[in-house]
Amino acid sequence: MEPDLQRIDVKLLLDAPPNPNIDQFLVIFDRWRKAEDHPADWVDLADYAHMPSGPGILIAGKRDTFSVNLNPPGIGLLTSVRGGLEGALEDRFREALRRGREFNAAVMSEPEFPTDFAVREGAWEIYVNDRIGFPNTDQMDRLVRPAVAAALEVSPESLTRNPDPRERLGYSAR
Amino acid sequence: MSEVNLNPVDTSAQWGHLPTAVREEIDIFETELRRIQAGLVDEKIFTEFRLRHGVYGQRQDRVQMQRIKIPMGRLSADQLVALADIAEEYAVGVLHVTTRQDFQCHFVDINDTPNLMRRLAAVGITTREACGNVVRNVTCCPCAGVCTDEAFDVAPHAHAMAYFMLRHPDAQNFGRKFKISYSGCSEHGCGLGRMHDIGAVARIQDGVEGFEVFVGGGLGSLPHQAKLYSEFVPADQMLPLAQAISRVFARLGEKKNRAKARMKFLIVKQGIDEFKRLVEEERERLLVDPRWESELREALQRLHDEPLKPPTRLNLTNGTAPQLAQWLELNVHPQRQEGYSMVDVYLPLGDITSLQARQLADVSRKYVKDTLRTTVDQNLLLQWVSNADLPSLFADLTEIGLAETGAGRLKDVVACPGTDSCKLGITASRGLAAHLTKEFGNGMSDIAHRSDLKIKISGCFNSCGQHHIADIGFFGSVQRKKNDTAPVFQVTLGGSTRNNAESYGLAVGKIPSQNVDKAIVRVTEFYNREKQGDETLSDVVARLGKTRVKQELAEFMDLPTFEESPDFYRDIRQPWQYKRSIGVGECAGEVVDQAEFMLEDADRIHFESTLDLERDRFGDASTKAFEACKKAADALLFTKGLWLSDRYDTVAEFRKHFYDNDSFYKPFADNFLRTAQEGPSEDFEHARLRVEEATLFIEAAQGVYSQATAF
Repeated sequence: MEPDLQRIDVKLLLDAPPNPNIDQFLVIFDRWRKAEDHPADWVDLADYAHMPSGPGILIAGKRDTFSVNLNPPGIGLLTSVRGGLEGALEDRFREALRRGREFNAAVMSEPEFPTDFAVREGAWEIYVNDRIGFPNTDQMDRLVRPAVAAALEVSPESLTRNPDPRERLGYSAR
Repeated sequence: MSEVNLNPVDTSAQWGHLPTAVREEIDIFETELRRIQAGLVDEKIFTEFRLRHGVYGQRQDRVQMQRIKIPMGRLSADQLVALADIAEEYAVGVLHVTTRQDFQCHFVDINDTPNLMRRLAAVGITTREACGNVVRNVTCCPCAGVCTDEAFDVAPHAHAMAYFMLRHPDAQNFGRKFKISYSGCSEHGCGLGRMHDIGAVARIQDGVEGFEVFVGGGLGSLPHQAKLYSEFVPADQMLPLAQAISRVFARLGEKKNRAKARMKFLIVKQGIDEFKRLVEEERERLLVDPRWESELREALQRLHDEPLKPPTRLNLTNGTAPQLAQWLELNVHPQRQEGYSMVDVYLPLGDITSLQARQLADVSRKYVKDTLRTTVDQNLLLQWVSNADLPSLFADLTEIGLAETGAGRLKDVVACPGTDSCKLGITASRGLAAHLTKEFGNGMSDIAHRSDLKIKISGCFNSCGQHHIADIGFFGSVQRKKNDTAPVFQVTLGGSTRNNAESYGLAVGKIPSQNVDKAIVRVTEFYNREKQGDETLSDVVARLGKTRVKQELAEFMDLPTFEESPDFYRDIRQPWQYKRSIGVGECAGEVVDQAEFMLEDADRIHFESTLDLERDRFGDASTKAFEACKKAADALLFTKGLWLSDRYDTVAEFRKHFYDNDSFYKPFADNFLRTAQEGPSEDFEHARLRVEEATLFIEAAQGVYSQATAF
């Protein structure tokens, strides 16, 4: 039986100046956290902007966490899905991407969204955030890659997998 | 809402590779988690229960901070990788090093904590007793074993203490947390011995290894310098001494008033001489425990660090890059062993990402053999780097963003979580630390690498950021002007980590958060100007007096009105109007009597016996029913002063204390005594009867306990 996948990270990369200033996201997420009954079930924001290659500034929720993220391979808008996924694997990736796109659109429509930040269309990083259920092995790659590709509507061969078995099972799409 | 599964958790199939006792302990944690979610456990008891597994409620509702014990800060590469993985999957991808050499992860869902604990257990890490009213992580000089100034390597002694006290029955009934530290020398501040409940400082007397022992230190809102308990305790007497001290603290320490429950208050109340007499009396009464000797022997055998590479010399050419030269000067320290160095890995605000942690594990495997350390300054340290490797280590650390200079310097600001995640936080101590870190790279770069001053910040008066022992300390407060409230910081000057935290600073006045950076610059200028000879800031403040110092800072103390300057009514890195909001902190935990834990255990085991009965496992059902009664009897005996470490006979003592004097309902007690004689039964009728009798016995025990503790 396939493990119950509930943790997926989807990150859309941004083009931004070197050492980007992300402080405006504090203002945006401060506004977001006050929203009641948001499906992400917001808990609070957290500020890790002092880490040059870290999680940036995030708004954590019980269901999803959304952030402007500075981790390699570069700055991007990261949605960490923690629950509420069901159906086939492909459906779960599709749902994670749907939520990610929704958050991305919302944040980009905010007046404080930095004008010198631009989305790199189609530049996604997708991670299966569950090493116990989905270790980064060839066998798991064969199971997961087609589902990710279908959700992104790209060919499986176009996805680049992180080869380090200690890292999460993850793919880059460009 | 889905129905909670109340079957006892048994993960032996998936996690059978874990040591059985550890696996079962985590399984019980998960079972209790399900029981609280089903409303079957008193919330107060569960709160302290989860705290004792390191699961701490954040300021934000419904998420947890998971604290992870790293005894003596000793860490292997494999352990760092496991920590990185759990931070990535269950938290936000950051590991935070604490001032007790622990790690913490934030925004954790409590339902993830059992698997988080299992994954750590697989690499020999426990979260057990990381929080709560128990012995917290035992800290130790990160340089132990390689320090040029130490009397001897204290790490094995600290290790023996950490594992002897972990889960020790005599250390489960404190009114408040209990902290122990080991230092290798008396001069430096690595162990901070004088701010601990027990601070052990290595000494050799007549060729015998031992410790100068301080007791009753602690920071918090009312800081106390530890008092000298003994100038010399032989090393092999430390474990029984700590056990005796624990028993005195558990027996006589304050349980009701949380603000007066640390051991420092007991010592003030009793006086050090009387306290010492009580401890010695208790020490005489202790039953000899073979672990006093075996824990130390095993630690001395096991904890021998070895280098990965042979000793070498560092040969630098004239063309050494300035960045490397600065890193060698500031981050590298010679070891006692010629040809090797220690290397600081500076972590801004004590934070490292999961990716960096995995990369650092790789780097450490390349250069050293599992000799990573966390430090009380919230950094990491590598020991046993062969000197010729230093330039390539610098290059590798630069590659992963961990070659920044500054550990132990002015820019190395220590801060508690403050309003970021702590329920008690008043101001954004981490926000201020982040702001200062940035400024030390910009406008304040000329003072960033001073080694004669340290900054520590607490978000409230409770001193989790250790502001009292900083040369320049800050703790969060508020100030009102008209109808508006502004975040401010009280400045404390004159503390010191030197000589194991020899002096505590005193408050000189409040400064609005927005002015703190300017005030720091002014203090450093003042110190430069007024310093005579090798005076410390503490000496200068003492010589010139607080009034003079206050005058120096006066221009930064003024708080404008909101109308004049609304920025002053926002906290640092929080671009919204400040609002004071504090909750009930969990640092103190809930005071849950050990007997209450035992009665809850009795309840849980009894419930499992009913499930066994339902599944036709009659032998198991009757065994567990008796075990549950025995646990309840132990709970009552605890109220009579009997401790599990006294190794008494439960049935005999129950008869003496509760049966013979009719203080327990006789028919129910009869059942218990009869069952003790009969032993388990495989027969359905017998098993059912035992389970029912257990129900009544435990109910009665709870009644007796309630009566005994009513006031």
